[in-house]
Amino acid sequence: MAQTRSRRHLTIWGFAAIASTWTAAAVAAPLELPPLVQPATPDRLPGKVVWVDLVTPDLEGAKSFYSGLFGWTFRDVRSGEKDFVLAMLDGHPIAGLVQRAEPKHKSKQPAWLTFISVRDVAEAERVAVAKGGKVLATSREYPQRGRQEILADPQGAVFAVLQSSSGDPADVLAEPGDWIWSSLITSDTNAGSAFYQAIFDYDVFDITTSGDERQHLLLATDGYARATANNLPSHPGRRRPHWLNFVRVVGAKDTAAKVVSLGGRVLVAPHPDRNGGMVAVAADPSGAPFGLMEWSDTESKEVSK
Amino acid sequence: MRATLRLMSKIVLAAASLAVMAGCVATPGYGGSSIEVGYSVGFYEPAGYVYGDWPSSYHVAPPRPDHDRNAYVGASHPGRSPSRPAYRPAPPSRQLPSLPNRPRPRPH
Repeated sequence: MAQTRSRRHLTIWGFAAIASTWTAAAVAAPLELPPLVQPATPDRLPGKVVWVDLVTPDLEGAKSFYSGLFGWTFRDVRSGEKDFVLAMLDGHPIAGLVQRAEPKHKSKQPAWLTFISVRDVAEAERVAVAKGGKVLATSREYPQRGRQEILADPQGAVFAVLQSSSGDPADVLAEPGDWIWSSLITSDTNAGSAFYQAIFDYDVFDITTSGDERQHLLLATDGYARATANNLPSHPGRRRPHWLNFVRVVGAKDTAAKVVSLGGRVLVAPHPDRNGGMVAVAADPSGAPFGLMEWSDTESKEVSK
Repeated sequence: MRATLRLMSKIVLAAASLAVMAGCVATPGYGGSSIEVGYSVGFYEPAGYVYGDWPSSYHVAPPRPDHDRNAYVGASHPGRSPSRPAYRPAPPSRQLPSLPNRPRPRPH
């Protein structure tokens, strides 16, 4: 009798183990993210913003908005129940779009997540934590993409580090519709720049001008500008440090008008910036902010390799 | 019949408990659910961005390739830039960098 009961328990737990393995596999199956660079290259450009992911509650709405605005096309990368879409410009992958459920709290919002290249994610984490940063999502390996991890700097701006397994994209001028620039908008440019310099070994240039109310710093590696660090504009309301990424556009005013016609919002109206071109800040229909930036390449002197 | 039903219900119950346990130890990521520091709903960022009041002197763009580093007053402006920054300033001999100008090679 006892032997029969014991055998039955073994059967129950055996079936249960198989069933739970299937369930866990379905839930935890990793996404098959495509490589960052094809064909792979040995080039590594630590400190360069090499990728961005949009986290949105409305994937179809986002696809419609960004295809109408920038001419992006999309390729579905599905795995299990997860929805990930690769955004392409002229056949070239430029971003990922991730579907997530609507934020339960008003304290969270859809956003573009900025990925910065590192040679070693573990070392980046070690330095970031030692300098007051936080790990928001521990590192994870995607077979073709590489290893990535999500962090927050001491002021609270969220960013990700990516150790690409196929090398980093070459330093070329972004085409209209592609990402051209990134800005860290923070409560403390001085401390913030020191934090990012410790991780990415940035050259830091103070580019504050006599008319500036706030400090502006430029972060650079390999002889190229990678990002600016700007203090949050003075405002009595609630402010949170964050990274803001800019798409190159031919006409910021026309693009801003198109943002509105496609269901988005203009957060900062187009206005001239230090380079003479116009910049603006917009939000897609789900509220994720992004920048628009004009950039003239008439002074191009470099020759394509 | 009743014994079979009881057996089946035990299997389902045990499977559910094991699946829950497996979920608890799943690593975070695109498919994970155990994001730390309050990020339980994924990677949605803390809200609170306020725009719309950027003054005309609020610049975010990179310098042009022909911009002279000496044109920027930087640390010589007390009150706007700390005299002893927390970061390591780029050596004075280094030119002000800009964006790459090389176009993307066209596929053959």
